[in-house]
Amino acid sequence: MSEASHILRTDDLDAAAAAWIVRRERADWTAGDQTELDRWLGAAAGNRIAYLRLRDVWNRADRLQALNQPARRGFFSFRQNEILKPLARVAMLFVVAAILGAASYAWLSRSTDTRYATGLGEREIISLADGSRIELNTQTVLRLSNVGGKRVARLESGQAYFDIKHNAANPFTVLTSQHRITDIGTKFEVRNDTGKVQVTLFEGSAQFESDDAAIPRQNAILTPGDVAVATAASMRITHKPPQKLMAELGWRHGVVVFDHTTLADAAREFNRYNRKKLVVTDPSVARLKIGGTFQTTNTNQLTQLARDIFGLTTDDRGEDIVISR
Amino acid sequence: MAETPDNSFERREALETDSVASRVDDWFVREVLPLETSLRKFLRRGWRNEADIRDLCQDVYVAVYEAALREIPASARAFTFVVARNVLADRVRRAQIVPIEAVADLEALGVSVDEPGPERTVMARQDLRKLQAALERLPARWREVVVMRKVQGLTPAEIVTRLGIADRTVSQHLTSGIAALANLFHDDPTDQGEKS
Repeated sequence: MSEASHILRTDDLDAAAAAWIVRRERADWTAGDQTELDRWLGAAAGNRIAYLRLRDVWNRADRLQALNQPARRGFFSFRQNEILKPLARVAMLFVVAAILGAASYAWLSRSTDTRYATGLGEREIISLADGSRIELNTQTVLRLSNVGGKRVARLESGQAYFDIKHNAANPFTVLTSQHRITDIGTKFEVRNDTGKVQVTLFEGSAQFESDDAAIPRQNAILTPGDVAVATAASMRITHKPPQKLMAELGWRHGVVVFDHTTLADAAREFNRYNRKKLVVTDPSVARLKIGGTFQTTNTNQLTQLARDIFGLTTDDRGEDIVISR
Repeated sequence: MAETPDNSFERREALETDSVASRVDDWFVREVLPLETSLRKFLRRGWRNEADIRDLCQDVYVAVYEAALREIPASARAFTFVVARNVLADRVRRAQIVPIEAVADLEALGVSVDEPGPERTVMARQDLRKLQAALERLPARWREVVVMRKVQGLTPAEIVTRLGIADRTVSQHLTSGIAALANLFHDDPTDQGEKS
């Protein structure tokens, strides 16, 4: 390679580690290869570190998928944009300035309404001035408003974790399409799927109630460990042990935790984060149960284990990956 | 019966997650790696030769990782920067040159080890922005395969077909692309030794 003139010790190590990552992603990766990789990783701390470091960035790079969504195409096409780029940058600055201007105007006018949205596989942390924190998971839309001192978060879709500093004079309310959660000093998670709301309470307590005259009245005070699932017709509360609760929040660290989860459910969970969907149609395959911790944006981990452990076939069709016998 | 494969699956996962090494791995990836942008900035102020920065980072990482195998430090940030200062001091001693900045205090370099750094609040958006910037600075032939792999989501085999070049060449470009992307990702392009 032409860059050979200034290749250094660590650069060589990086090249070796990167070569392993590339090899591991190939379809012809075998158990023997894995043994060889394990041996290389175990040979020196430096090897392991170089590998972890590159894999970390390479996994993060899965986020670049977001740039491939049709709505954003053109925003990111290299060749034709070479000349326009400086212009686009200036334009972007104006947009940013406009947004900042609008945001500060809204802030100054004391009735704020801000919309936060995450794309496929994205996460976002919102820190509020009062020390409260909200974390948004993949494909989530949340609208925050502060009207007359009342903090209201409208979870239009998706999933969010709330760590709310309680203030009796200024209650914090989360609204979904048909329900309302009012904090009484809490950490909780809300997932708003079509037709179904799930609230998991980690600390403190909160009131969970229906907020739509068209549906039957539902009302409950949730305490730590409670998982409430409500539809328009009913509300059901179960209690989960702490360990399971933490697994529920794996997404905050970019992982999903499966425990006796069927392959069908696991695929559905993965599909929330990735453009390339996992497809499981054979009922006997869909029923297989798996466990373990997986990175949300790395479907390879699951397909590989499906192959290695269950001896299943995975067919990568470009748009999706079919898992079958 | 799904019983047997189910069990072996879980056993394998358990083995991986229970060992000390994998606990340290997780900690290292979560707490130490995100410090690299700050770490590079710090090292650069103490060491003028740009070509050595990646080496110095690696020296710091190895020392931090090996210490963590014995006991995971309470503060990753504080510990990493103390190690970085030692690595720098050691390098300066061995090189028998004394650039004035090399042994300056952490405080003088504007690196506060106790306050949470900006990397603590790194979010998806920032990741995407940093990745995008790194991608733009990647040499063209490596960028092409990285874009195909990560933006368009093509498999290596599909890239081979699409580009009509040898399988080995695609692998080589991907390999170089991954290594370069990591360096660019962790580098703040505005950092030329003088900032803030």
